Amino acid sequence: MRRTWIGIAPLVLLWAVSGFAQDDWDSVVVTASPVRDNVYMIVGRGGNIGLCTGADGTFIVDDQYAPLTDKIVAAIETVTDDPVRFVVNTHFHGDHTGGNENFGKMGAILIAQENVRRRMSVEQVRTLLRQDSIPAFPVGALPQITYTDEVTFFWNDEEIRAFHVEHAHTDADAIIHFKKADVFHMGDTFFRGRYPFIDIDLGGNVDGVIAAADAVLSMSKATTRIIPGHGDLATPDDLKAYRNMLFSVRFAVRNMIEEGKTLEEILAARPTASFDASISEDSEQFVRSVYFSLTR
Amino acid sequence: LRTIVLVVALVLAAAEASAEEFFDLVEIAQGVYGALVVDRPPTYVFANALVVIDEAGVVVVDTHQSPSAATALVGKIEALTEAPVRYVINTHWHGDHVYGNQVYRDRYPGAVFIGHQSTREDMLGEGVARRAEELEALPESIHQRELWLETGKGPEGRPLTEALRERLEYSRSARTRYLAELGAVDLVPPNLTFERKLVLYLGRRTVEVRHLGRAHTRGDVVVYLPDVKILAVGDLLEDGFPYFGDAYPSGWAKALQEVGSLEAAVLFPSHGPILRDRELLDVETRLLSTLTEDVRQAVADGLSIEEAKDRVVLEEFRSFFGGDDPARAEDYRENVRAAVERAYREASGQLE
Repeated sequence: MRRTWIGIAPLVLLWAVSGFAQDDWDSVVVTASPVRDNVYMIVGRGGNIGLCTGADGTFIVDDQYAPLTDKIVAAIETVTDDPVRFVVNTHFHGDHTGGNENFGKMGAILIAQENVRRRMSVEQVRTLLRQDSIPAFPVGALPQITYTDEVTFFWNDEEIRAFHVEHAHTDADAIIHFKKADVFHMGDTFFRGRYPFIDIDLGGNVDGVIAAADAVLSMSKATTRIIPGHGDLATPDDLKAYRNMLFSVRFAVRNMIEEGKTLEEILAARPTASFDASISEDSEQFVRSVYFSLTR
Repeated sequence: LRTIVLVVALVLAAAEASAEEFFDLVEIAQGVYGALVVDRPPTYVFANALVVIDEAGVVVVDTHQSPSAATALVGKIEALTEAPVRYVINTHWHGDHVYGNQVYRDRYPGAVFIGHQSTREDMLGEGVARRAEELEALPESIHQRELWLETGKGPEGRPLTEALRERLEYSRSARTRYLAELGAVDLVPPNLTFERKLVLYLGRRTVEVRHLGRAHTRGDVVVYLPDVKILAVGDLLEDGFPYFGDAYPSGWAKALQEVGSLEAAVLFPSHGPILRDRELLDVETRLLSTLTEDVRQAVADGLSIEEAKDRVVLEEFRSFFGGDDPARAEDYRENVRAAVERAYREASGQLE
């Protein structure tokens, strides 16, 4: 019986996480592609994964969904035979932490900002921007090391700095900087080619997202490469365009709030109009999140 | 079979004896052990180490000054648990706390070394230089002791008493052994550094690692075990007058106030016995506050560094630190002058 449950558990989780059927997971293709030096980006489904290889052991940033762990491991094995020693989470959402328990069982050390562990430990309920909840994660999925502000790994001949940015996509975001390779992983403080999801109910705020972009831009050169939480590998110019989009939508929404407009009136005024042509996605949830950022 | 049992017993006894030479292993709470340095260990071992055992792995705080002592502690740990050492924490960069790191690296290839960001920088910078100085100075100091012992005339031409001869013989022997070890020390700096706070969640225990600001060095960390209320304070508190060579006295005063605000029932210093009351904490907090305030006033009054040393003598702490003993009065005076010098440099903006 016990074996049966172990077999079923991933399936239960898979439906709970995203309503996917097994066939959908089977169809996901996970690939690793080089960014620079010993740093790679892995794309599958869910948040982009950062990978750093070398003599000290394999280091990854985020791990997508549990049903994809085998494919992620296979993608890593196209680059290195060394097992994963560290998993750093950019935040607590399941599309970035779903593989934690699997990698933990394989011997990896899980590490994240302290609010990641706090949020993952108990059910998280959203009532404002969304009406849903995230179930508590199993103990084996929780970070084994947490930090308050920042940590640096001297690992694989790299200097990998993970630093917390306050109240951005959530209240638990970290940005990871591979200093020698000059590559950032921004987690979901950067959605390339999409309007961002800002998790208002769980500590997110548009001002923090803008500040996170400014922080990375202040540390970037033209040759810097940036792995966004979702979307293709990016340059500082891409991030600058994203940051300016955020700023101008925030500016427009703020002005309308000051004019006394209601949320419905602001949505009807389409403050994202000038960006809608280049971003093929509905902006309503984003505009609502900007409104809540400024009015809560 | 009897032979095997006998051999095993002898080997265990030998291991026991070699470990006992360096430190006494004391269980402070369930699964928490202090390796308390003995008087006159056979090589240089000045700092205590703390061992925290959990089913998910062992945490070691500070690694002794000599790899042989670290090796002895590894033997003790392995007799207590099958769990490997997963985390090694250095409370700061001084050699008596870090020179044994390599033993853990070699024995536990997966071990992670944790310290403040500046601890890594200082180990690789000033730490390398200090070790080179030690290596250069030791042969001369050993030779000097040999001369004293050979001629029967000690420091300043004084004839050797039996007690002094014995002390010099010990010192020569410990230095000789330490010199041989020091040459083979491979400085292993922290590979996971942090700024303010890290928490390690082991199987059952939680270990909090905090930096309370610049204090005894610019990178001191304290290690708190909330389940048993034990706080390893590194050199923030020590048995005897504090060492100010790399210190930031005003920050140190604040750090000790923060130590006082934690709910620790047991304070585990790197030098000296386990503290189960707060007397030393209270006295040292007042000492640092008084030093900082008095020297700041001296700077404000326009005193030179020498004038400040003459004015700030910390009389009220003399008896606590043994300065009433005629044999130690001069030591106390010199210690205070060194403290004032450092505080003066800090207060006048000469420390970066």
